[in-house]
Amino acid sequence: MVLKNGKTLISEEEALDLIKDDMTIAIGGFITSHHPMSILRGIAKRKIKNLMIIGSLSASFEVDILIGCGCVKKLAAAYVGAESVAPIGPFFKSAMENGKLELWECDEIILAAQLQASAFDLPFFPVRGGLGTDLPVLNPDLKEFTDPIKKEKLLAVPAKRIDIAITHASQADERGNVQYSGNSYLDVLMSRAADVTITSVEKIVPTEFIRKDPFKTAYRADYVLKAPFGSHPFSSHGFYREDEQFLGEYGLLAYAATKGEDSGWIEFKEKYIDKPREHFEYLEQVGIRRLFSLDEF
Amino acid sequence: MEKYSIKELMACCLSRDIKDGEKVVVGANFPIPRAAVLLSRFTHAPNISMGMGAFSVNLKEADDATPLKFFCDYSPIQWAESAAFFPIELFCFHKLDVFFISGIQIDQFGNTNLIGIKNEKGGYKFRGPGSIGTTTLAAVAKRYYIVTEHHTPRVFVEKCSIVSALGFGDGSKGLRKSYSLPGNGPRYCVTPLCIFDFSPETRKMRLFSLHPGVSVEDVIKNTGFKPEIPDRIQQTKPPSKEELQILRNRIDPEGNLK
Repeated sequence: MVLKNGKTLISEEEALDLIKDDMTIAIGGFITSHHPMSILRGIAKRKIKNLMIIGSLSASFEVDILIGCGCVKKLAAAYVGAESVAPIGPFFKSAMENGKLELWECDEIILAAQLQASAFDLPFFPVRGGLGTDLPVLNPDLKEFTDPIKKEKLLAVPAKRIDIAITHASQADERGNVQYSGNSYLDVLMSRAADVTITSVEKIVPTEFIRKDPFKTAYRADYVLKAPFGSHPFSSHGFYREDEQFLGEYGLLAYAATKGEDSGWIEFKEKYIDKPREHFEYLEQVGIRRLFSLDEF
Repeated sequence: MEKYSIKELMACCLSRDIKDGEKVVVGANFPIPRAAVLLSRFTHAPNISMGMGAFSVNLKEADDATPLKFFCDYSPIQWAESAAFFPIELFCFHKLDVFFISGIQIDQFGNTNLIGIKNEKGGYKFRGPGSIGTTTLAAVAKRYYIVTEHHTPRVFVEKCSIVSALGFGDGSKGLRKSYSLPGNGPRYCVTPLCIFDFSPETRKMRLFSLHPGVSVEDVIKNTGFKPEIPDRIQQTKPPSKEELQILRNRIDPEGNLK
């Protein structure tokens, strides 16, 4: 895509046009926080297929929804769930038990090591955790070796080429300078590891605003799109909390769908994924009162 | 003596073993260890360094600290001195003194399984939530505690279907050392019936103390392997009045540990 006047701002449609079947996509955020939901819903709506997803450190329903909508071929994630609200993603669990999902088994540190190796352009990054466990059995990419310096046993975690990192942040300018009000988790590493970074933000700010605090700039995204409440039903630090009720509802409907009772899930999917033409129509479906009830800390 | 719940008792047991000044982190959705760490902070260990969610907090001026719904909950910001700095935080877990691990299966050598139960075809009969951070933390944190709310033969098995966090492996001598793991492995396993420690000779789970009202037979009946039973077994010390008061008023006013 040719950018107009060096500006990185793009529309949701343009962002989604960049994402193709069979790509390897890293998703930013952490468990119930900072997931780029407007783009992920677009992926589900467009039925983009055979994706290899590098989940955020530990992942939640942002990945479960993609599995439920048939977009995911292979996943790397240390966890998929919403903790006390629903300890395990229903579509993830069901796909694993029915042999319909390839999992690159890892813990959070092994996932971070993969990104570290990719970002640093190294063949692998070594870790200790996983030695003596079944992780190298479940994931043959993890290779035990003896280090040449101290002759200790270590696990090599290989780098992985990532086509696109998709992240959600607090603000950016039209030049793609991305800033966070809260934790940026592994988003910085993901943006360095991927060929291309697309970031949705709560608000677009002038470059003068970015220059007031350049230390706050986490990375430069290739493409930026505006998506206020763009992480809903997850949180965006400094803007809104998790929508616990929404996550709970999703958990129950998705669980029922995996047990053969899918009418609730189909209705939910139609209302929030298929019917809204873009992010703002989704927000209208959720409702203004509900959205603004989430900004009390 | 005041009445107490088993979860309150378990929290007190863990709390007493945390020393002042230690660096402690509790994972997500794990109410008993969370209460234990807060209890030690409000009693004998005011100088612990405590990870609460993705923040490092100082509870000096906190009257109470009620549970978080999610690990990424923003609310601990009120006590936060710093936020977890990624990915450095993850690669420096060997600096941690204390961690807590649970499992859908726990075996006789303290290996744990959060991944799932395999079926005959190599797939999953039951898929669990995933190893989260436990694989690395079990390897590198100076010590950890295995904590479960379910003491049944289904959880306490002779051998885990899958090992996601290494305790003492097959029990062979020096196994953790052969992998140069900086962590010393599990210290205690705390259950609703008892506390196990690990025999230094066999690395096998050994009955350390029985909770009040529990017999050796109860433990044996509910454990899927034969734990080591020493000749003399102490009774777990019940919560004190002060411990219960702090737990109920400052840590668990919603009664999640009831």
